Amino acid sequence: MILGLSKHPSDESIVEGILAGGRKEHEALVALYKKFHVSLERFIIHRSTGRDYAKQPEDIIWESIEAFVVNVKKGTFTLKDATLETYLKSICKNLWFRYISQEASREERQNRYMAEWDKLEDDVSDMLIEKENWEHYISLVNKLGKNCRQILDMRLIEGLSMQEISQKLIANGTFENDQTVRNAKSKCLKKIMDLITSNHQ
Amino acid sequence: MDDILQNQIEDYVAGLMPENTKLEFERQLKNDLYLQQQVEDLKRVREAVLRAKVRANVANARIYIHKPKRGLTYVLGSFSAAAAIVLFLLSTSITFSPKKFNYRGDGIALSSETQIRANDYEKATRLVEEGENPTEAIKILERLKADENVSKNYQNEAKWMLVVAYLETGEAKKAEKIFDEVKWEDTGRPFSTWEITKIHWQIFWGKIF
Repeated sequence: MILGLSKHPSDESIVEGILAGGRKEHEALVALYKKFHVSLERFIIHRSTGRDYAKQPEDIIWESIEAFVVNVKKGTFTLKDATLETYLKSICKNLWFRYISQEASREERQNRYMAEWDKLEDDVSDMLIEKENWEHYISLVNKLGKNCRQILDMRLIEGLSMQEISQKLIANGTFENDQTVRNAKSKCLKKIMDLITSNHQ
Repeated sequence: MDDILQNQIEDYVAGLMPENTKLEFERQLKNDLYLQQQVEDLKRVREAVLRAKVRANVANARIYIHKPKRGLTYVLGSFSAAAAIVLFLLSTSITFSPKKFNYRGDGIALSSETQIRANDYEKATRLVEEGENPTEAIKILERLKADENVSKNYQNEAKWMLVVAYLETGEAKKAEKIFDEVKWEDTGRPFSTWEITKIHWQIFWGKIF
């Protein structure tokens, strides 16, 4: 195991790892999955209909982890709100019911799922609707080249100055000089802005 | 838009702006609709980049979790299993193809001494092959090895069989002595290379234990 985290990492150490980014984030994600996947899978299977769906509980678990990580990074989840397991189960339940209700016939929906659907937590449900809205924007970002994504990540997510970004990218041979890095950032920003704003209007 | 303002917007959206500059920037923001739009757009870009990055990281973690593990334990386990198989095979009994004593049955009348030597040779061969009474085989073979009337070919055959017989009785040093004598002879070997390797191995371990 590559984890710097212990075999039984606490909720706090997982959240700290996610916020640290890089290798620590990877380790935290692996630890998060290993810690909760058995209970989450049981939780989802317990709420299944016995029908064979294209999405498996495993897919729902990873989608839940993704939604959880976004919230940690945005600062909208803190451990004061709930334990990790409770929070993940809440996301899993919402994702699973949204998925099977889309797949089920209207009659099935009336009979079986709507009662549970009413019990879904509003804040988690809103978060998932928001998640669906972002799908298109994510696909636009993924259309950018690798260098573009790296520059935008360094500038907007890691919060590096242009000088720091230039130093890193010149040192690893991606760019030749400071001006080419600045030009590349401007072009990348313009391109993604155009793509997103044209879609937004 | 100039570079300074663009940098300010980026610093503000990335949360890097110092508190005093931030207050001033937010005052400016309140009264500037164009600036508000720029900030909103960049916030959207930032979140899209963040979500795309999270998705990629989660996908990598998923691949890592589900890829077959070939770590140190796997490598050592495979190596140990392979080594155990080779050691087992090296420790199995040695098979060889001794020359048939072809002096009889071809119309040549044998002297009584030759007849006795032929019988002895065949008896020793059978005893060594079956591994039932190697001590008896050693007595016969030592006699044949030293008998000047036995041809060189059959003397060497007797030596090869002696090596195996001594290994069967656990006398590795005696087996090694004869093996060192006979392995350079040019009369051919009744063993394959693999069987010769097994003899080396069994002499080696026989001397240790």
